[in-house]
Amino acid sequence: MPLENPGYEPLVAEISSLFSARAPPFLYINDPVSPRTTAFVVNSVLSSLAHSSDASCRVNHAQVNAVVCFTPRLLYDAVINQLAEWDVKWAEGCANWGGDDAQKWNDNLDGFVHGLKAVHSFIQRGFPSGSNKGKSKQTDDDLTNDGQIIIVVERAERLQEQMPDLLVPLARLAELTQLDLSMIFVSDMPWEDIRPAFGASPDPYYVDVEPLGKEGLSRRLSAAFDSASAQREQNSDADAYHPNLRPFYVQFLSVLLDSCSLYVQDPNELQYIAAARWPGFVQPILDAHNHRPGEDVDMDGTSDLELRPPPEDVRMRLIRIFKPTFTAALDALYPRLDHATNWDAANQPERDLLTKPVGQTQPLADGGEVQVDDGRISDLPRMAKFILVAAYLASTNPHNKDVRMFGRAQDEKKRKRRAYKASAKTGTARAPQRVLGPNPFPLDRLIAIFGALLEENDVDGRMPAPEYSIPGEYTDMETARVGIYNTIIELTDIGLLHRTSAPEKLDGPPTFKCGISYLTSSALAQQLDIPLNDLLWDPA
Amino acid sequence: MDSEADPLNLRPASTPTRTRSGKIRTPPSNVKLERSQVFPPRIPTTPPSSPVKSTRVTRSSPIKPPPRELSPTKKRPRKPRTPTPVPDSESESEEPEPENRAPSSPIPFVSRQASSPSPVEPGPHEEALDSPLTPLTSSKFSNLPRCLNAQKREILRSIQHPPAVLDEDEESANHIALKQLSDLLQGTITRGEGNSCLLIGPRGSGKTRIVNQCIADLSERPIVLRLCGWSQQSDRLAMREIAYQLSQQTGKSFLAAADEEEVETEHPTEEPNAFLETPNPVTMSLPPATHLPALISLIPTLSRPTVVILDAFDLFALHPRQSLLYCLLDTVQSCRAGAGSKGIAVIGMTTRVDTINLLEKRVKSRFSGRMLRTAPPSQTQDWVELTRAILGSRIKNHMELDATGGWQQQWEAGVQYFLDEEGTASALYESFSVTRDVRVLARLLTSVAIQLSPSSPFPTSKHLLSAVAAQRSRLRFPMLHTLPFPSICLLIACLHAETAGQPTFTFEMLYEKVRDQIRVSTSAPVEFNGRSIGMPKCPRPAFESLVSARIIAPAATPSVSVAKEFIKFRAVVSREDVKKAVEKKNDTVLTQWLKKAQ
Repeated sequence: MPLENPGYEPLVAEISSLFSARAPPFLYINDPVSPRTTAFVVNSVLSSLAHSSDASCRVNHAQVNAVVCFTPRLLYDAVINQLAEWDVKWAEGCANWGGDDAQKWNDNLDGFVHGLKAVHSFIQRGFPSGSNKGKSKQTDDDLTNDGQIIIVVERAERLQEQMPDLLVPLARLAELTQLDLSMIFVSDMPWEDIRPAFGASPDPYYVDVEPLGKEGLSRRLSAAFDSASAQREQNSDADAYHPNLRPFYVQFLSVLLDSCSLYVQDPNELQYIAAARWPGFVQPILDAHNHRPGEDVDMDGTSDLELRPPPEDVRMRLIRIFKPTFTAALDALYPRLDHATNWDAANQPERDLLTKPVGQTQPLADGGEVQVDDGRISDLPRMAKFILVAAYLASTNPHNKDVRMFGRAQDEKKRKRRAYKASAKTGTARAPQRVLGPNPFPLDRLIAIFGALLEENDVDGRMPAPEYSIPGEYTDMETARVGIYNTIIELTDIGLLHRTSAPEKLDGPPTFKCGISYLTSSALAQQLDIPLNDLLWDPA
Repeated sequence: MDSEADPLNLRPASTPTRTRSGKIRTPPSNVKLERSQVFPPRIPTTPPSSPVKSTRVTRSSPIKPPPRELSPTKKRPRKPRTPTPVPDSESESEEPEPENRAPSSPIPFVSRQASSPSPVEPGPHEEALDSPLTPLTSSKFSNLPRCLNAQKREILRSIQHPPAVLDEDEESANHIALKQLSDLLQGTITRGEGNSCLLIGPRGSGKTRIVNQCIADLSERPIVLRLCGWSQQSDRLAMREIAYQLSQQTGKSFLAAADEEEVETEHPTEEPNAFLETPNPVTMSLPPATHLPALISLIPTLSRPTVVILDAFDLFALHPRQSLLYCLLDTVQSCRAGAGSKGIAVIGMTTRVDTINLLEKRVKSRFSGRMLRTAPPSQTQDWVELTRAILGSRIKNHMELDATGGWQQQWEAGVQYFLDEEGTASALYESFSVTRDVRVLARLLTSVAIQLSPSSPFPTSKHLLSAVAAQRSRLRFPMLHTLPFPSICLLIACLHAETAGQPTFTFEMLYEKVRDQIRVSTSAPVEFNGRSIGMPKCPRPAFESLVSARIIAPAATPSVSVAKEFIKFRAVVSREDVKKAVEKKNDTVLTQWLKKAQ
C-alpha cells in the first residue's frame, strides 16, 4: 500500500491503523499545502481498506467534495449514493438510492440521518453481489465488526460558508445516527478557523500532514513517470516516457525540484510543471536516437537498438541548456498564465540539438520578467492611450495637487513643483496611493488632465490648423470632441476604466476609477513619450 | 389524584410525589431536596416557599433515608481530592510493594530489577516488570507486529467505549445521577408515571452514556425518541422527527387525525405487543403539521412507555414560544399513573447551567425541576486509572494469537512502566488541570496508540508528550515554517507594514516591499541552499495561498469595485509566530530582514 502513495507513508500508516479498528467519530485532517493530494491519499487508503482481505477492518466509505456538493441536498445524495454503491443512471431517471421502498433522504438533515441508518442496515444485509464475501467474513471473524461507515468531506472549509447550519450536525453525525460512523474533514484551513462557536461541535482528532520534502516529492513525481510509462503502448516508438529513460527522469527531477520546490511545494503543481518541461527536455535525446547516423532510419520503427539513457556529459550539457527554462516554466505555469501544451510548444528546443558542437549551444532563455502585457492595451487608438494615462494620474495623484502638477501659468517658475517639505509628522507614514489602489475621480478632472497631457505631448505632431490662434484652443477643441467621450465609454466597457457612480445618476459628472496597473500605465506612457514619473505626486 | 398520591408516598427513594391541581403545580419536593443537599451550588430555580418545603419533608418522612445515605457524598470525595497533587501517591499506598512501584527514571528502574530481583513477593507482577525490556532488545516474539496490531485495535475499540472505571465509585456524581435517573425511568416504565428531568454536566462528562446505560438496563424496552437541538432546529422539524421515530418503533403510521383517535382507544386494550420490533414498518407518510401537537399528547396512550431524550435541551428552549417543550412537558404533567395509560419520561441533556432560566413560565411550571448533575473525573488519579484501563484492555480474539499469554504479560508490564514514568504522570496531570473532558484523554490515548510501532512497541512518555502537542495544546500555526519561500517573504513584509504603522495592507504594498528587499539583497550576493535567490517567483499565488490558509485575513468585505491586488488585508499571525518560523527555516537573509521590522 505505501508504494501507491510515495511520500505520504506517515499519513498512510496513521490512517490505516486508525481505521483498522474503530476510528474516532470525527477526524480533521489539515494539510495547508496540498489538501487535494491528501484527500486523494486518504481516499486510496480507505478504498484499499474497503477491499482488503482482512475482513475485520473492512470499511464503507464515501468521499464528497464540499465544492461540488454546494447545497445540503447534493451532499446528502452524494453520500448516500456512494455508501450504497448506487450509480445514478440517466436512463432510470437519475433516481437516487431510495432503500427498499424508494424513499427520499434529502429533504432535511433528519432525512439524511434516516437514510444513513437505512444504508447501514442495507450494508449489514450484505450487498446482493457480495454475499459470499459476507459469509467468509462471518467464519473468520467472530467479533461484531460489520464495517465502519466513513464519510470524507474534502474542502471542508466551504461548509462554513455554504452550509453553516450543517457543520455541527455533521461533526456530531455519529451521535445523531447512533451508528459506528466516522466523519473526516480534509481542509487546508486549521480547525480553529472553522470551529463553530460555543464549543457546539466536539473537537476532532487532529491529523496534521507535513508537506513533502524534496526526497518525498522526487519519489512521488517519479511514481507519476512510472504510471505514464505503464500507460504507453508496448513496442511503440521511443517516446518521452520510455521506461529506459527513468534514471534520466529522476535526475531531471532533482534539478527541477532544486529550482522550483523553493517556491512551490504542492506535488500536483510540480507535476504539472515537470510534465510540461519533460517532453521538450528529452526531445534532443529522442532526436539523436531516431536519427542515428549510419543507421537506416526508414526501416520500420522497430529498431533493434534499445533506447538508452544518455551518458553523463550529455546529461550535464542538456541540464545546462535547459535550466533557465525551469524557472520560466514555473513563472508561466504556476499562475496558469499559460497552459502546459501551449507552453511546451512555445519552448521546444531546436531539432537535433545534440548534433551541434558544444560551443554553439547557448542556454535557452528564461522568460525574463513576467510580461506586463495586458492584451487589452495593444490595439488601442492613440487618444485612448492618452485617456488611460490621464486616468491613471487622476486616480493616483491627490486631487488638490493638480494645479501644482499640471498648472501652466504665465511664468514658468510657478509651475515647478515645490520641494516637498518633510514636516516632522507625528502620525504614521502613509503608503503611496500607487499601492493602495486607485481613487475615484470625476469626469471633468479626467478631461482636464487629458487636456494638459495633450498640450504637453501632442501639439507637435498635429496638423497645421491656422484657424486656432489662441494658445490651447486647438487642444480644447480636441478634448471637446464627441469621440473622446465615446472612447471613455468604450474603455469603461472593456474594463480599463471603472465607473463608480451609478449610471442612472444624472446630477453631477460621472466618476470613474482607473483599471490599469502601474506597469501597464508606464508602458503606455513610454509609447506616448510622456514622463510619467515626473507627473506622479508620489513616484515609485 | 390525591387519592393516588398517598400510595405514592410509600414508594422507595427518589420516586417523585406528584400532585396536580388544575394547572398549578407545586415544585417537586423530596428529590429536589436531596439534590440540594448533594450539590450545594445549585442554580436558583423558582425557590419553593419555605412552608411548602417543610411540609414536604414531614410528609415524605419515609423517604428520609436516601438523603442520609447520599449526604456523605458531599464530604467523602474531598478527602482524596485535596492531598493528591502527585497522581501516583494513592495507588502506591494501596499497593503491597510501594518501593518497587515507585516512579523513577527508566535506567535506575532497570538496574534495580537486575540487581535485586523480587525482594519480597514475586507475584505475577514481578515477572512482568522486567519482561517489557526484553522484546526491545531481543526479538523474542516472532509475531510481535501481529500482537501489537491486535493490541492497538483493542485499545482503539475500548477508547470509543471507555470502560466504566469511574462509575464504580459509589460516591461519584455520575454514579448518583445514574442511580437517580434509573429510578426515575423505572417509575415511568413500571408505574406509568410522567417524569421529566434535566441532566446537566460539562461536555464529555458522560450524560449520553448515563442515559443510554439507564435505558439499556430497563426491564421493559420503552419507545425511545431521540431529538437533538442541533439537528432539529425548529419545532416543526422536531415534531416530524417524533412522528417518524414513533412510526419506526411502533410500526404504526400516524397518518391522519382520524387514525389517532382510533389508536388512542384501541391500542392499549387489544394486542398491546403486536407492533413491537416490526422489521419492515409500513411506509411512513408524515402527518400534516397541524396534527403534530396532537400527536404528542397521544404518546402516553401508546402500548409501551416512552422515553424522550432531548439532547442540547437549551437549544429547544430558544425556539419561538417553546411550543415543543410545552407540549411535551404538558403531556408529562397530565400523564396519569394507572388508568391504562403508559408513562412518559422527558430527559433533557445540556451543558448550560442556566437552562432552567431560559424556560418560559408556563413551560417551567410544567417541568418537574429535577436536575441531575454529571461531572467529569474529579482527580488526576481517575485519569490515570482510566488510562490504565484503556491501555490494558485485553485482546479478546485468542484464535489469532497463540502466543497471547506471553504478550499479555509483557504488555501489561509495559503499560505499568509507562504509567510510572515521571513524564507520563506530569503530562497527564497537566492535561487534567487544563481540561477534565474525558474525550481529550481519549484523543491523547488514540494518538499514543497510533504511534506504537514494532520498533517501539510499548507506550512511553515521549509518545504522550507528542500526543499532547498534537491534540491538546496545539499551536495556532503549526506549519508556518513549511511555507514556501515567497509566502514567508510576504509574511515578513506584513510585519514590516505593521511596523510602519499600516496594520492593513494590500498585496501591492507587500509585493513592493519584497521587491525592494530582494533588490537590496541581490546587490550583495545572497545564497540559499547554494544558489542565489532571484526575484521571488509567483508572488500572487503565494499570497492567495496565505489567504486561503487564513494566515492573513481580509480586513473588509471584498467588493467588486476593488481590484484584487488592492483588497485590504490584515495579518492573523503574530510577530512571534513568524519569528519562530523564520528561525526554524534558518535563513540568514530572512532573519536579518525580519530583524529590521522591529
